[in-house]
Amino acid sequence: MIVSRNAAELVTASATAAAGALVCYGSLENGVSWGASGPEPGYFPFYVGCLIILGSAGAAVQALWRGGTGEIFADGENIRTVAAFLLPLIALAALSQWLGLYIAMALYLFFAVWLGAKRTALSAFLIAAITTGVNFVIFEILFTVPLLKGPVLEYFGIY
Amino acid sequence: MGNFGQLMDGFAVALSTHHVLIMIIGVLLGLVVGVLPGLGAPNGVSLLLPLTFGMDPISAIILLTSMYWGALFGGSTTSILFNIPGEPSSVATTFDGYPMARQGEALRALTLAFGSAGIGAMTGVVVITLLSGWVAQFALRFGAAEYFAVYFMAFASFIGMSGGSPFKTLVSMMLGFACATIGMDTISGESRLTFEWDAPHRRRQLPHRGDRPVRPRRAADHHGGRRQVPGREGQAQPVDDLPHHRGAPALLGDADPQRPDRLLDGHHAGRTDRRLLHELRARPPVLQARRELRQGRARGRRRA
Repeated sequence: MIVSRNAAELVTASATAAAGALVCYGSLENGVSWGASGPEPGYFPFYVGCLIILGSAGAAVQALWRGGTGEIFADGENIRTVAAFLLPLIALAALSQWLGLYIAMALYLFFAVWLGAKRTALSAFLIAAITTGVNFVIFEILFTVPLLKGPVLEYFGIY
Repeated sequence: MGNFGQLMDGFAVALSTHHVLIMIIGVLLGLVVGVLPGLGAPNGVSLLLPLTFGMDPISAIILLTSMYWGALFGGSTTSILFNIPGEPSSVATTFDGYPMARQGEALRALTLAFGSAGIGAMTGVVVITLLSGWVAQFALRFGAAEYFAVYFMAFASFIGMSGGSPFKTLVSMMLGFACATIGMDTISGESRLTFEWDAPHRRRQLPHRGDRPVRPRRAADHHGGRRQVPGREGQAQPVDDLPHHRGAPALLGDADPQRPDRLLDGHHAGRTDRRLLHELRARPPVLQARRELRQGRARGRRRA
């Protein structure tokens, strides 16, 4: 599977334009005009969203103007490398919403070291346990900042 | 030269064995915070604040400042080793530090970065102490228009000096601006670009100073107007979806009596803390204290 540079440019431009449209739509809920006491809350984000759309349009026009140069953005191997890095990260974010940050961190480190870096399961387990423990001590005990815990730790009375 | 004498007095206080040990701890903690991208020196200082409650003021300030400078240097570690600045201030280190690391001179680059951070911090402190009076006079004349001009020049030069397409620079910069506007507006206190995703969490939170049901868009019948303090009517009723909190009042009865005030301070500073809700459910008097606080603030505003 080969993705051309032009296709990637166009997809990125549409994605950022969609983000800009979302920003514009969101700020419309707060009012974008100039009220009695100065600009309304949505005034600044609205024009930021407009600039995002304009910039995306500019980038897309530039990409179309240049035409197909045959430049390759990514081939199969590149995509596999990025996916091997990106998909676990997405899994980490999803897991941390469900199980809390610490368990997700430990699981992510364990599998990243074991399967990603091809170390032994024991060293992966040790790295995951020690890193999670150090993070727990730093954030929960020293800094007293409660991070997301999730149902498992709350069941054991840690929250 | 009055400033200079005071500076020397400061060094005399700071350079005791106890304080130097605290400096070492602070710089090491700062390194940890600085290496993590996104956790900057100011965040690190605010994270470290609870740790300093039990310390004497001088040690606490020394710990916080050492941690600040440690974090400023810590950012350059990732700049040199991974080409990823851990701090905004260490972006420039990626320009020459990362190439040095690629040539196998990472240790030398780190040493130079550490040395220059130390010399720079020292010179900066001495210079700012000697010039502070003069600089303060200048800074007072720096108003909104001047700030706007400086920021505008910075962002315009990003676009002008960008290597690739200026459109892409514009888009990524504006995406950053858009991300910065998510959440509470600092002027009106309204939540922006949240699409009411914060609503389920907010139901469990105190009414924030921003939650004024003044705008017709936030119709009272729809959002329930001003959000109710959980447990205000029932006075510490157990909440159904949190069954394991039922034993909390007895436990918290023995807790540090200053704690609710401290948590409330954090709440007023805009920090959301779930432990505050536990305290509030457990301790009705805190609600009374909060009401007094608000009345005090209202009085203050009227006077002003």
